[in-house]
Amino acid sequence: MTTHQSELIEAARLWAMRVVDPAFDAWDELSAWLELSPAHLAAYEAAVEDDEWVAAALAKVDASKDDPRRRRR
Amino acid sequence: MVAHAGISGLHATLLNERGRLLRFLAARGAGHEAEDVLHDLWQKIASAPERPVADPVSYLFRAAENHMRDIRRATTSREKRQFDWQAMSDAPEDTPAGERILVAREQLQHVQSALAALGSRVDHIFRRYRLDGVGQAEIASELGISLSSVEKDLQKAYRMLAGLRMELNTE
Repeated sequence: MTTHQSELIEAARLWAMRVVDPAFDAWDELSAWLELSPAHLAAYEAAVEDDEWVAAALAKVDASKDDPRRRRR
Repeated sequence: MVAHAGISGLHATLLNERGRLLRFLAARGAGHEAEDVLHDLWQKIASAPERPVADPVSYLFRAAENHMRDIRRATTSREKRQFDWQAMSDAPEDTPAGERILVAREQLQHVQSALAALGSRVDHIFRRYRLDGVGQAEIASELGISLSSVEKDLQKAYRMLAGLRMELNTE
């Protein structure tokens, strides 16, 4: 594999980020990317963990305080 | 169980998309067990209370992604428990709740200030996307900016926060 490690991490992070979008529909592209190497799945899972860590950290306050911005919608 | 159009419609979609779903599950970590995992996934979907599904294909792929995350989470916490058990002989009791709350609060402050440091637009876009669950296209139209600007801002936030997590873990 010639892809540099940091490029792999960057690519995996981009997938983990795009998947969050409720309109995400590039599932076949994601499958194809994951199939390229087992390292891709490991990098993707690490990126998903980062994303979930942030969401969990932020969700804790959001639960405790009522965000008026959100009620307006 | 009562038969309803929703579930049978989803099942028809599952049969139609079976090949694509199996390929995804295999690539996503299920490997040779993709068939079994798809079977389990369907049991889970069929036994859940019914909700309106706007886009069945996307619903099934999303469910497959979440299912793989659940499996991974279960495996990781089992490994962690095992590790804790082995380490227990000379380890202190579980971290007290008060300390855990402190850590969570501290992490939150780090995340908040990392986002604030990226500027109010990046901060807003990230929260809209990750906390409010609004898609990139919708955010772009809300703010009157291009889709690629939204994606670039999100990338900045994601990159920064991944770096932050690594820093906090190695502290």
